Amino acid sequence: MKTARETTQENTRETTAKYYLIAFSVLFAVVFVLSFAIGKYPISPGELLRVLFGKLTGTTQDWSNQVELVIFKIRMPRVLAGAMIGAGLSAAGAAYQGLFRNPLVSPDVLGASAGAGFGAALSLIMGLGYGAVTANAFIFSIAAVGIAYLVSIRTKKNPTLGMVLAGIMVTQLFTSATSFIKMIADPSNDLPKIIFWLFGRLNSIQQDELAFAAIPVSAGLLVLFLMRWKMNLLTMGEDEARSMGVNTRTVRIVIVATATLITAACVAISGIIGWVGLVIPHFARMLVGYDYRTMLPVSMLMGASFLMLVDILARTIITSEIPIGILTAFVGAPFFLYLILDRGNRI
Amino acid sequence: MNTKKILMILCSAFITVLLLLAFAGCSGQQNAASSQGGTFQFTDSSGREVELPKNIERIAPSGPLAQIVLYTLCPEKLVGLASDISDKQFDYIDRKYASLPVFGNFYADTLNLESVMVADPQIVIDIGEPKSNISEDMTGIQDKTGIPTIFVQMEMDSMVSAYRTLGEITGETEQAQKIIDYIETTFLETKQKADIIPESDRVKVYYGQDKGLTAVVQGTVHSDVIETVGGLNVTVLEESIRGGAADISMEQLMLWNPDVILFAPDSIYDAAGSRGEWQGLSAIKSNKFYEIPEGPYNWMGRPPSVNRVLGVKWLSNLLYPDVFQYDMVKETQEFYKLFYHCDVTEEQVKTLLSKSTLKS
Repeated sequence: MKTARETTQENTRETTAKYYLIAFSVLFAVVFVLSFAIGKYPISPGELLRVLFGKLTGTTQDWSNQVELVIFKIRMPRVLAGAMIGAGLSAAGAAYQGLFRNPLVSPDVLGASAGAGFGAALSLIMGLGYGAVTANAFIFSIAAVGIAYLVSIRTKKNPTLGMVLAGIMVTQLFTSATSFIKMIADPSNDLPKIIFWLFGRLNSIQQDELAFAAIPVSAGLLVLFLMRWKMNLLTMGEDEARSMGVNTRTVRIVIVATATLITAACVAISGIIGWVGLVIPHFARMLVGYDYRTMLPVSMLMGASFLMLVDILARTIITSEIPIGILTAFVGAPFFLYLILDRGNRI
Repeated sequence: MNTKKILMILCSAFITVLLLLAFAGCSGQQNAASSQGGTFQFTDSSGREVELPKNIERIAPSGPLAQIVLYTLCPEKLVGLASDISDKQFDYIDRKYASLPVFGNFYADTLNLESVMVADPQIVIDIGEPKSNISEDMTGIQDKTGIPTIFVQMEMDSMVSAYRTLGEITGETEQAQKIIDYIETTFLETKQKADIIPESDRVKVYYGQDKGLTAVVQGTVHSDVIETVGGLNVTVLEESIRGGAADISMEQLMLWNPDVILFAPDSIYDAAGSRGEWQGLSAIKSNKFYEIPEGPYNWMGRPPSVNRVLGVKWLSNLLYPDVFQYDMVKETQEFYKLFYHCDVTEEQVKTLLSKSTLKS
């Protein structure tokens, strides 16, 4: 039986969580709109609204072609990509961290990024088109995790530890293979392409790539969202979860499969954007606690807002672009350090 | 209202906005060909048909190579740069171009399309080797910015045709012709003389960068100059798929035993003469090692552009001084005047070549 005090505590907790959820939804909406408004090409908020409104109501075009191109062809794909990838990586990271009960786990712990990097590098050195590069990155990413998973099921006693270890090995294997490709790549042409692919960027994502990734990512996010409660049980530990009637093996497979699908799809179109999937779930936990029912949606909103914000920086700090994979850690790490110093007791 | 309801409402609102935006983005927009003096149809090196304005006064380069070539042809028409010009390079490039905005390099994923649009060029030009997706890439830039974008192929053996095309597009036919004449004469002369050098007299060259043991492999663009002047690059690597730069061992280098060693700028030229491990090489012992001149760009590549034309004269003169008798000071002055619009003094040339001339 719960005591009266516990019940009140739980109620306050739920109320705070609710407020956080609302606050981050608002933040997300604000950043989303800002992302359309800010950039090197000057578009006033009034003009932006006029164009959007004009488009929605179908009035004749009384704005310049340039403004329309900037909003719909240049900014829209990257804003949508930022929102999707930020939410996807954060949700996948949160899921993995709960599954492995380890806060140092990131979405590519099972080799998803290393596999994608290898697939992309291989395609680039073979001179394949962008569609093939993205597709191969996606396929190899999933293959890498598949190998890690198949190896890990041989470990009977501690399946999660087995998975992490197998993941580390697979990551190393694919990373060295990528390095080998870099070594033999033509330094004036293919090598820079591989290096810049690995940096991670949102600016060169094409609309069709976005559409390709949107399906697995949104499906994956939906599955994770529906499994929030089961993830709560899993974080209590294998035995506890089993005693609550959860089929831990099935849940584990479903979570690994979904989180991998999300990560692979994100990494395949953007390259390797580190840090988001590792740290955003921490922020979310610090603010709303360990309950996945609120922590997961807050992670997604936060991750999406964060990546869109960093992308605004990536395209405005200097006149050229800065690869976003370089900036994410630059912007986020100091903030995270501050949080540790300020409220380290809550991590 | 409970959390779930709020979430549901927010989600559905968001999705609605997304869908609307997506539909709005898909509806076509008309292309206004807005330039005085009319337009003409142009087929670029990737086979794309592009409508170009007739009088082009404002050009944006898509990468560093295009920047260099366009600078040699029509510097005052550049509305921005692909990469920053360093302080050292301003010894040869007019300071006034320091104020131009830097757009970034398309093939490094750093080209900021919005910055390009702000500068309002009439055309975006990419110059260089044909990349595998070049046509798609150029169409992508054009679709996103609404600015006609073309690719002009330019490699060692297609410099002349590239300048001819660029001259026609930009209207700078006179400057283009001067450059074409210079390049044609240089290459023809070099080929005639290099072809008759007997196999037994060909100089074996090693080209090292970084710490000296990163070799530039035979057959790559950066090795082009060596082959053009009739030298033999000793670094022939079969196992390399396309052949890049490769790390080799000192033992391998001793086996190759090159007659002449070239170091890239900022490699270990200064230390090679005194380092123990390099003393086993006859080229080092007999003082036949040099540094490739650099200013504003490396004379043998990086980027592989017009700088290589002077590189051909320099290296041929260095390897076969009896066959290629050039006064490198004069040659350098002439080249810099023609290509970089810059007068260099004899003093400057001597400093430039201080590590790059025959040692007696």
